[in-house]
Amino acid sequence: MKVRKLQRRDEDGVWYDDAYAFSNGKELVTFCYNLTWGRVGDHLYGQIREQNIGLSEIEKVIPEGEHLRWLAIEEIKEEKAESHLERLDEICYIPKPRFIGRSFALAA
Amino acid sequence: MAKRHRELLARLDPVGLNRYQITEVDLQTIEKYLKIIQARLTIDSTWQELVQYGGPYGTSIAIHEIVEIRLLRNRRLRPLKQRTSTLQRLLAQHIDAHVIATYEEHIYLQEVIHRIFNKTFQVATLIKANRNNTTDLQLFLESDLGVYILKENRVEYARQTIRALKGVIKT
Repeated sequence: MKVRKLQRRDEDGVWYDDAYAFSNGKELVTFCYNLTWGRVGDHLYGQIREQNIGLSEIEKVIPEGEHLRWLAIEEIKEEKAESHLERLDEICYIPKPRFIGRSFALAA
Repeated sequence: MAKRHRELLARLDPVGLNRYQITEVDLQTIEKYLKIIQARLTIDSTWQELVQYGGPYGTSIAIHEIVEIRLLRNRRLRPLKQRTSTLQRLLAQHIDAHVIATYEEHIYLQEVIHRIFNKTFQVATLIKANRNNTTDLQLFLESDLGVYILKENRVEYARQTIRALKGVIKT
Protein backbone atom coordinates (compact mmCIF):
# COMPACT_ATOMS: atom_id res chain seq x y z
CA MET A 1 0.00 0.00 0.00
CA LYS A 2 1.16 3.55 -0.73
CA VAL A 3 0.22 6.47 1.49
CA ARG A 4 0.73 10.24 1.32
CA LYS A 5 0.03 12.55 4.22
CA LEU A 6 -1.30 16.08 3.83
CA GLN A 7 -0.30 18.65 6.42
CA ARG A 8 -1.72 22.06 7.25
CA ARG A 9 0.21 24.80 9.03
CA ASP A 10 -1.41 26.46 12.02
CA GLU A 11 -1.38 30.08 13.17
CA ASP A 12 1.97 29.54 14.91
CA GLY A 13 3.62 28.08 11.83
CA VAL A 14 3.50 24.50 13.15
CA TRP A 15 2.67 21.80 10.60
CA TYR A 16 0.11 19.20 11.68
CA ASP A 17 -1.31 16.08 10.03
CA ASP A 18 -4.69 16.91 8.54
CA ALA A 19 -5.57 14.32 5.89
CA TYR A 20 -4.06 11.58 3.76
CA ALA A 21 -4.51 9.65 0.54
CA PHE A 22 -3.75 6.01 -0.10
CA SER A 23 -3.88 3.44 -2.83
CA ASN A 24 -3.65 -0.31 -2.94
CA GLY A 25 -2.01 -1.44 -6.15
CA LYS A 26 -4.34 -0.84 -9.06
CA GLU A 27 -7.15 0.59 -6.92
CA LEU A 28 -8.20 4.21 -7.24
CA VAL A 29 -6.69 6.65 -4.78
CA THR A 30 -8.84 7.29 -1.71
CA PHE A 31 -8.69 10.71 -0.07
CA CYS A 32 -9.38 10.58 3.69
CA TYR A 33 -10.18 13.79 5.55
CA ASN A 34 -11.61 15.02 8.83
CA LEU A 35 -14.79 17.03 9.41
CA THR A 36 -13.10 20.44 9.02
CA TRP A 37 -12.83 19.67 5.30
CA GLY A 38 -16.60 19.07 5.03
CA ARG A 39 -18.04 19.46 1.55
CA VAL A 40 -14.63 20.52 0.18
CA GLY A 41 -13.21 17.14 1.16
CA ASP A 42 -16.14 15.41 -0.49
CA HIS A 43 -15.62 17.31 -3.77
CA LEU A 44 -11.91 16.50 -3.77
CA TYR A 45 -12.61 12.84 -3.04
CA GLY A 46 -14.91 12.80 -6.09
CA GLN A 47 -12.46 14.65 -8.34
CA ILE A 48 -9.56 12.35 -7.47
CA ARG A 49 -11.69 9.30 -8.32
CA GLU A 50 -13.32 10.80 -11.39
CA GLN A 51 -10.02 11.89 -12.92
CA ASN A 52 -8.22 8.75 -11.72
CA ILE A 53 -5.49 10.87 -10.14
CA GLY A 54 -2.47 8.95 -8.85
CA LEU A 55 -0.73 9.63 -5.54
CA SER A 56 2.27 11.18 -7.25
CA GLU A 57 0.14 13.75 -9.07
CA ILE A 58 -2.36 14.53 -6.34
CA GLU A 59 -1.14 18.14 -6.19
CA LYS A 60 -3.07 18.66 -9.43
CA VAL A 61 -6.30 18.39 -7.44
CA ILE A 62 -5.12 19.65 -4.04
CA PRO A 63 -2.32 22.11 -4.74
CA GLU A 64 0.32 22.82 -2.14
CA GLY A 65 0.58 26.32 -0.73
CA GLU A 66 2.24 28.31 1.97
CA HIS A 67 0.08 26.53 4.55
CA LEU A 68 -0.61 23.19 2.91
CA ARG A 69 1.91 20.53 1.92
CA TRP A 70 1.99 16.92 0.77
CA LEU A 71 4.63 14.66 2.28
CA ALA A 72 6.52 12.05 0.26
CA ILE A 73 4.82 8.77 -0.66
CA GLU A 74 5.32 6.08 1.98
CA GLU A 75 5.28 2.38 1.14
CA ILE A 76 3.57 0.29 3.81
CA LYS A 77 3.79 -3.49 3.97
CA GLU A 78 0.44 -5.19 3.42
CA GLU A 79 0.39 -6.84 6.84
CA LYS A 80 0.75 -3.44 8.48
CA ALA A 81 -1.59 -1.56 6.14
CA GLU A 82 -4.77 -1.75 8.22
CA SER A 83 -3.16 -0.71 11.49
CA HIS A 84 -1.27 2.08 9.71
CA LEU A 85 -4.50 3.53 8.31
CA GLU A 86 -6.19 3.24 11.70
CA ARG A 87 -3.35 5.19 13.24
CA LEU A 88 -3.59 7.87 10.55
CA ASP A 89 -7.35 8.16 11.14
CA GLU A 90 -6.64 8.78 14.81
CA ILE A 91 -3.90 11.32 14.18
CA CYS A 92 -5.95 13.22 11.60
CA TYR A 93 -9.25 12.90 13.59
CA ILE A 94 -10.99 11.21 10.69
CA PRO A 95 -14.38 9.71 11.59
CA LYS A 96 -14.73 6.03 10.82
CA PRO A 97 -18.24 4.67 10.46
CA ARG A 98 -18.93 1.49 12.37
CA PHE A 99 -20.74 -1.51 10.97
CA ILE A 100 -24.21 -0.51 9.90
CA GLY A 101 -26.42 -2.97 11.67
CA ARG A 102 -29.69 -1.14 11.56
CA SER A 103 -29.89 0.13 8.02
CA PHE A 104 -31.80 -1.35 5.17
CA ALA A 105 -30.72 -1.06 1.59
CA LEU A 106 -33.53 -1.77 -0.80
CA ALA A 107 -32.22 -3.01 -4.07
CA ALA A 108 -35.57 -2.76 -5.79
CA MET B 1 -24.04 44.47 8.84
CA ALA B 2 -22.17 43.73 5.63
CA LYS B 3 -24.15 44.39 2.50
CA ARG B 4 -22.99 41.13 0.95
CA HIS B 5 -24.62 39.10 3.75
CA ARG B 6 -27.90 40.95 3.24
CA GLU B 7 -27.67 40.33 -0.49
CA LEU B 8 -26.91 36.66 0.02
CA LEU B 9 -29.83 36.31 2.44
CA ALA B 10 -32.11 37.73 -0.27
CA ARG B 11 -30.87 35.05 -2.70
CA LEU B 12 -31.65 32.14 -0.35
CA ASP B 13 -34.98 30.30 0.01
CA PRO B 14 -37.25 32.22 2.43
CA VAL B 15 -39.07 29.06 3.49
CA GLY B 16 -35.85 27.37 4.57
CA LEU B 17 -34.55 30.56 6.19
CA ASN B 18 -37.77 30.94 8.16
CA ARG B 19 -37.89 27.31 9.27
CA TYR B 20 -34.34 27.46 10.63
CA GLN B 21 -34.58 31.11 11.68
CA ILE B 22 -31.48 32.03 9.69
CA THR B 23 -30.59 35.73 9.78
CA GLU B 24 -27.85 37.96 8.36
CA VAL B 25 -25.97 37.50 11.62
CA ASP B 26 -26.14 33.74 11.12
CA LEU B 27 -24.64 34.11 7.63
CA GLN B 28 -21.80 36.15 9.11
CA THR B 29 -21.32 33.42 11.71
CA ILE B 30 -21.26 30.72 9.03
CA GLU B 31 -18.65 32.63 7.06
CA LYS B 32 -16.45 33.07 10.14
CA TYR B 33 -16.82 29.42 11.10
CA LEU B 34 -15.94 28.18 7.61
CA LYS B 35 -12.98 30.56 7.52
CA ILE B 36 -11.67 28.88 10.65
CA ILE B 37 -12.27 25.24 9.78
CA GLN B 38 -11.18 25.63 6.16
CA ALA B 39 -8.42 28.13 6.84
CA ARG B 40 -5.38 28.18 4.59
CA LEU B 41 -6.69 25.62 2.10
CA THR B 42 -5.66 26.14 -1.51
CA ILE B 43 -9.07 25.28 -2.95
CA ASP B 44 -12.53 26.90 -2.95
CA SER B 45 -14.23 26.75 0.44
CA THR B 46 -17.77 25.76 1.38
CA TRP B 47 -18.57 29.46 1.88
CA GLN B 48 -17.69 30.17 -1.76
CA GLU B 49 -19.94 27.28 -2.79
CA LEU B 50 -22.81 28.64 -0.69
CA VAL B 51 -22.46 32.08 -2.28
CA GLN B 52 -22.08 30.62 -5.77
CA TYR B 53 -25.30 28.58 -5.61
CA GLY B 54 -27.60 30.74 -3.51
CA GLY B 55 -31.22 29.60 -3.99
CA PRO B 56 -32.49 26.41 -2.37
CA TYR B 57 -29.23 24.49 -2.78
CA GLY B 58 -27.23 27.28 -1.14
CA THR B 59 -29.87 27.29 1.61
CA SER B 60 -29.25 23.58 2.25
CA ILE B 61 -25.54 24.36 2.75
CA ALA B 62 -26.37 27.21 5.14
CA ILE B 63 -28.73 24.95 7.11
CA HIS B 64 -26.03 22.30 7.56
CA GLU B 65 -23.48 24.82 8.84
CA ILE B 66 -25.78 26.77 11.16
CA VAL B 67 -27.23 23.60 12.72
CA GLU B 68 -23.70 22.34 13.40
CA ILE B 69 -22.61 25.68 14.88
CA ARG B 70 -25.72 25.95 17.09
CA LEU B 71 -25.21 22.43 18.44
CA LEU B 72 -21.57 23.16 19.25
CA ARG B 73 -22.56 26.44 20.91
CA ASN B 74 -25.24 24.69 22.96
CA ARG B 75 -22.42 22.58 24.36
CA ARG B 76 -20.50 25.75 25.23
CA LEU B 77 -17.71 24.92 22.78
CA ARG B 78 -17.50 28.44 21.28
CA PRO B 79 -16.59 27.27 17.75
CA LEU B 80 -15.74 30.79 16.54
CA LYS B 81 -13.12 31.19 19.25
CA GLN B 82 -11.20 28.02 18.41
CA ARG B 83 -8.18 27.36 16.26
CA THR B 84 -8.48 25.15 13.18
CA SER B 85 -6.47 22.36 14.77
CA THR B 86 -8.65 22.48 17.92
CA LEU B 87 -11.82 22.29 15.85
CA GLN B 88 -10.38 19.30 14.02
CA ARG B 89 -10.42 17.47 17.37
CA LEU B 90 -13.68 18.96 18.69
CA LEU B 91 -15.64 18.03 15.57
CA ALA B 92 -14.40 14.46 15.84
CA GLN B 93 -15.44 14.35 19.51
CA HIS B 94 -18.88 15.79 18.69
CA ILE B 95 -19.54 13.85 15.55
CA ASP B 96 -23.27 13.76 16.27
CA ALA B 97 -23.38 17.53 15.58
CA HIS B 98 -22.19 16.84 12.04
CA VAL B 99 -24.63 13.93 11.64
CA ILE B 100 -27.62 15.97 12.84
CA ALA B 101 -26.55 18.83 10.53
CA THR B 102 -26.40 16.37 7.61
CA TYR B 103 -29.88 15.11 8.54
CA GLU B 104 -31.38 18.62 8.73
CA GLU B 105 -29.70 19.59 5.43
CA HIS B 106 -31.36 16.65 3.69
CA ILE B 107 -34.73 16.94 5.43
CA TYR B 108 -34.79 20.44 3.96
CA LEU B 109 -33.69 19.15 0.53
CA GLN B 110 -36.47 16.54 0.70
CA GLU B 111 -39.04 19.26 1.38
CA VAL B 112 -37.81 21.76 -1.20
CA ILE B 113 -37.51 19.13 -3.94
CA HIS B 114 -41.09 18.09 -3.25
CA ARG B 115 -42.20 21.73 -3.26
CA ILE B 116 -40.45 22.64 -6.52
CA PHE B 117 -40.41 19.41 -8.54
CA ASN B 118 -43.19 17.43 -6.83
CA LYS B 119 -40.82 14.48 -6.37
CA THR B 120 -40.28 12.54 -3.16
CA PHE B 121 -37.04 10.89 -2.04
CA GLN B 122 -36.01 9.21 1.19
CA VAL B 123 -33.52 11.22 3.27
CA ALA B 124 -30.87 8.47 3.05
CA THR B 125 -31.31 8.31 -0.73
CA LEU B 126 -30.72 12.07 -0.93
CA ILE B 127 -27.60 11.89 1.24
CA LYS B 128 -26.10 9.23 -0.98
CA ALA B 129 -26.99 11.24 -4.10
CA ASN B 130 -25.60 14.47 -2.67
CA ARG B 131 -22.17 13.15 -1.64
CA ASN B 132 -19.31 11.51 -3.56
CA ASN B 133 -17.99 9.82 -0.44
CA THR B 134 -20.23 7.39 1.48
CA THR B 135 -18.90 8.42 4.91
CA ASP B 136 -21.71 10.90 5.66
CA LEU B 137 -24.31 8.34 4.64
CA GLN B 138 -22.75 5.65 6.82
CA LEU B 139 -22.42 8.00 9.79
CA PHE B 140 -26.08 8.91 9.35
CA LEU B 141 -27.31 5.34 9.01
CA GLU B 142 -25.43 4.19 12.10
CA SER B 143 -26.61 7.16 14.17
CA ASP B 144 -29.43 7.25 16.70
CA LEU B 145 -31.57 9.47 14.49
CA GLY B 146 -33.78 6.56 13.50
CA VAL B 147 -33.98 3.79 10.97
CA TYR B 148 -33.95 5.03 7.41
CA ILE B 149 -34.52 3.46 4.06
CA LEU B 150 -32.02 3.84 1.27
CA LYS B 151 -33.47 3.17 -2.15
CA GLU B 152 -30.47 2.37 -4.33
CA ASN B 153 -32.57 2.35 -7.48
CA ARG B 154 -33.58 5.99 -6.85
CA VAL B 155 -30.08 7.39 -6.16
CA GLU B 156 -29.26 8.33 -9.75
CA TYR B 157 -32.66 9.99 -10.21
CA ALA B 158 -32.13 11.89 -6.95
CA ARG B 159 -28.69 12.94 -8.19
CA GLN B 160 -30.22 14.35 -11.39
CA THR B 161 -32.89 16.15 -9.38
CA ILE B 162 -30.30 17.74 -7.07
CA ARG B 163 -28.36 18.82 -10.15
CA ALA B 164 -31.54 20.53 -11.41
CA LEU B 165 -32.09 22.10 -7.99
CA LYS B 166 -28.63 23.67 -8.09
CA GLY B 167 -29.80 25.67 -11.10
CA VAL B 168 -32.85 27.06 -9.29
CA ILE B 169 -32.11 30.64 -8.27
CA LYS B 170 -35.48 31.70 -6.80
CA THR B 171 -38.24 29.68 -5.14
